[in-house]
Amino acid sequence: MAQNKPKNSDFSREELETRIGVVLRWFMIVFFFIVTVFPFYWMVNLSFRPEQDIQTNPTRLVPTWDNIQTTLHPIGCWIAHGRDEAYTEDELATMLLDKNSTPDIMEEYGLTLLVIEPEILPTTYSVVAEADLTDAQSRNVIADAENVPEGFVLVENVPEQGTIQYLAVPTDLLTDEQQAYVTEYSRLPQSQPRVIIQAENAVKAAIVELSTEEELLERNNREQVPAPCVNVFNQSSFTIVLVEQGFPPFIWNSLLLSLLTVSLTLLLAIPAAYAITRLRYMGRNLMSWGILMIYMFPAIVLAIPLFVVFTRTGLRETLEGLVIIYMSGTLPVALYMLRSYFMTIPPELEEAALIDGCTELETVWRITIPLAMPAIASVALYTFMIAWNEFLYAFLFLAADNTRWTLPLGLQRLDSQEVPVSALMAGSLIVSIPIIVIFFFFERFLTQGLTAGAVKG
Amino acid sequence: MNMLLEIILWALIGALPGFYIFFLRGYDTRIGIGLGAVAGVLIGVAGQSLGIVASPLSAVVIIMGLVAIVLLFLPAAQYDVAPSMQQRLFTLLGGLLIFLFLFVGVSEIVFFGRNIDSGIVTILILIAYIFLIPRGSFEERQSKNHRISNLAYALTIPTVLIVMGIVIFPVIWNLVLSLRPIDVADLPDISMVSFEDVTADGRNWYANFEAQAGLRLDTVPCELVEDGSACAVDEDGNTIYVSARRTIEDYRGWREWFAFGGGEEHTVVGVRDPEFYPMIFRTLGYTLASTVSAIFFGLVAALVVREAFPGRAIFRGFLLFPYIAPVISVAFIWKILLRSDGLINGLMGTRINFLGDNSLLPLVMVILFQTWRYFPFAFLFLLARIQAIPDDMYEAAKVDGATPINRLIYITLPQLRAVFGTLFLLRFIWTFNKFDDVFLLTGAISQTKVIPVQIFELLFTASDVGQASAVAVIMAAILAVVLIIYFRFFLVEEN
Repeated sequence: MAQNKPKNSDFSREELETRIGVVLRWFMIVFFFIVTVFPFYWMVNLSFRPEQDIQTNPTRLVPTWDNIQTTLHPIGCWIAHGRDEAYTEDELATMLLDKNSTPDIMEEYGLTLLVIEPEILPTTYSVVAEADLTDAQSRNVIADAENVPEGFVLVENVPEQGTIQYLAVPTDLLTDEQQAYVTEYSRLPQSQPRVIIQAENAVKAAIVELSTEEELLERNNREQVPAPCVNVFNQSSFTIVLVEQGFPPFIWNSLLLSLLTVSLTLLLAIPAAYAITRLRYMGRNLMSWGILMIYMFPAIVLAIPLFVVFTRTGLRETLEGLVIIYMSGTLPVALYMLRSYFMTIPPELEEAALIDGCTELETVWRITIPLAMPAIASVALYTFMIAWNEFLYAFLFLAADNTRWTLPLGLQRLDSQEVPVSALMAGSLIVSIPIIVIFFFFERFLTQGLTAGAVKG
Repeated sequence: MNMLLEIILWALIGALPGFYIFFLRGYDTRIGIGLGAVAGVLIGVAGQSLGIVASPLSAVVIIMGLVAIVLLFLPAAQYDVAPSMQQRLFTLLGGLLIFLFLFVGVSEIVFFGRNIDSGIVTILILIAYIFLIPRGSFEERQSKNHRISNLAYALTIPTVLIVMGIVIFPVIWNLVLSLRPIDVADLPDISMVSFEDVTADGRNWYANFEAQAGLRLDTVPCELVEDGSACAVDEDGNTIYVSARRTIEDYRGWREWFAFGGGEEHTVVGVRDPEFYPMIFRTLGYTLASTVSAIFFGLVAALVVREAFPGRAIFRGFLLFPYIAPVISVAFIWKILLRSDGLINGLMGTRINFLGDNSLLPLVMVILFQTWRYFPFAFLFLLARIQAIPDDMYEAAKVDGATPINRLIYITLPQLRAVFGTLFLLRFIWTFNKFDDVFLLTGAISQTKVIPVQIFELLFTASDVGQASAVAVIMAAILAVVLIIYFRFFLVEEN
């Protein structure tokens, strides 16, 4: 550049401008890069650092190697074992009984079931000073008792009726005395769950008594959770979120909701977009612009009547109801984006198909949809993004029932004093990662769509 | 009023399947709409008032069931061609589907309200059946235009219904709700449009507006105190009005404007103690500031990215991050960054409470957050337009000796004018309506209480549906005024 300039104007105005421009531009590039990316980096940084480290070093820019290891280790444990508590023998015995029928297990371990009936105890009465009455006694006071001194009351002592007890003992160790109580498991009253549970508990206790932990683990095909993996879930922000705060169902709900919205939106928007671009009919313009008008209405205003109607029809706590609401937001976007793409497809192609004897719907299926695939894909991605990111309606309509919560709702709950900051950041990371990954893969695609559809936000 | 609305609603519910049946069977759709509407009204209104139909949902189910029967027995509008094997098969299949459909429908009536899913299943089955039945050839004898417009309606009706049902209907109903004193607890029992509850507890039809924003004109039976401005003064020296109909509680937070009259009764004009009006100005101010600064930074970013540099594509991708990431995540990130023991305070060595300080600071933070989150939107639009400006214009200006700043002011900015207009409009409306950004960043604190947050508070903290709708109506009115001013003074000028 400089060589083209005449030598005498070493410091020409133009060159100065160019240099200032370059410096200014790189300054702005760095500025924008830091401003947009740094908050996201900080989210990743904090989610790898324990609460105490964040408190003491609020400005540390990189998590230490130690921090990263402590954060990742429990995730490894979660993947390998699914839990962070060692198996107790009791638990293993329960698993064994869940898998096999109880009589089989009893036969295998050579157990016999004994039933011990309670003895009937007589009711007694006692005189107690009113001041010394316990809560339990005060329920059994006999109100109009005679011959009781002033300040004293007559209390009826209802004996605690001993409940029926079950015992499982090895058959070869049965004593003669015990022989009288022997019963068969199959003769227990199956209609009374309490009896069955008591009997099974007796068998369980006998199994625990008779076998070692290793035997039980082997019988259940499990490995004991190793010591380094015991009680670790509360040490990693990610396992706090995924295990202790129960995020997996929220991920599933969000995914279901978003995919349902995407597919229904496409199903309705493609024929409608075809109709408003290709078919002439009364009210076409009103339809194509009127639907865009809904961008003008605030979600919170629409929320009140919808809240009322959905409460009354029972749609409020359901994902189906939410899908309908999301569709009212995504359909205009989809319609607008598809419409502008359909207009770039030459109508001659469709006309040729019509002349060849296809019906309009066949034409849409065979000609328009294959040609508009890029636009359809970007509509699908946008619709997914809108449904995945949506917070307000999910918050208003699903808040009461946490089995239906979406990810943003689950994340909202983490914003409290009890949950460490690193877990809040890990939750935010989990919620944003799918969107950021999608965006990175389809960036160019999506950038065009963004301006075409003026996606609401 | 109620009756009329109900009749219209049922006519619509009936007309829709009527249209689809006649369209798919090749008959004149206008007859189908008419018949369907009559059937809908008969079943929905008459059936319900006679007690034959248990509930609105079961009426819908019965209408759908009738539709299915009509579909089965209504021959396709063709008499000259014998039905093909395929058509016979479809009719058989249709019969089976109807059996299933009626079964689900009946169980829906029996277990009404318990399982909304079965209602949805019913409708899906009906849709499947509509798509499976053979189409008649009568339509080919109709004029082409008529057929095309029928097809177009058939394709667009579901979309229009969903959008209208979720948007237009609530907007209109909001107006009705705003005039009624309703609590969230009343919701299951209230009727849709009845005004009977209007004066039930002494609140009249404008009470919701009055309580939130209004002026109050009241005749109060008490004597004027010496300066003639008030009726009575309580221990703290505050003015209290007492009237027969209203209690002192009603007047908490109200300030007199003036009182006139004589003797024992005085007419008092009161204004509510201003908490509402600052909120409106706060909302407008924050919206304007966020909009302008987002567009400004978008412009700077677009100018930076205009010319190629290594890594431009990736840089452009990164710039869009704040816009595409879920709002809840980014709000939490900033919340943590701005904590009093967070990074920003750590770097500055201070302990400022950015988001909870009792000053304008939280509002400024909300504006900065909105700027950060929405400048990519402006950036994308402006970049697209800037890249379309022909290079010749700049070359010519360079030859004429224009400095870069001259070129920016005299070439780039005028070219971007239309985009600025659109961007400002869109961003203003969306920011004005925005609830989640503010709510998630600062919560519902008074320093950042904007109208949407106030509506949320009224609805879910105070459980007052009527009041919340009233504020929503006021909000819509303010937006309408702003838009009228905008179009009147800015857009006309451009034309």
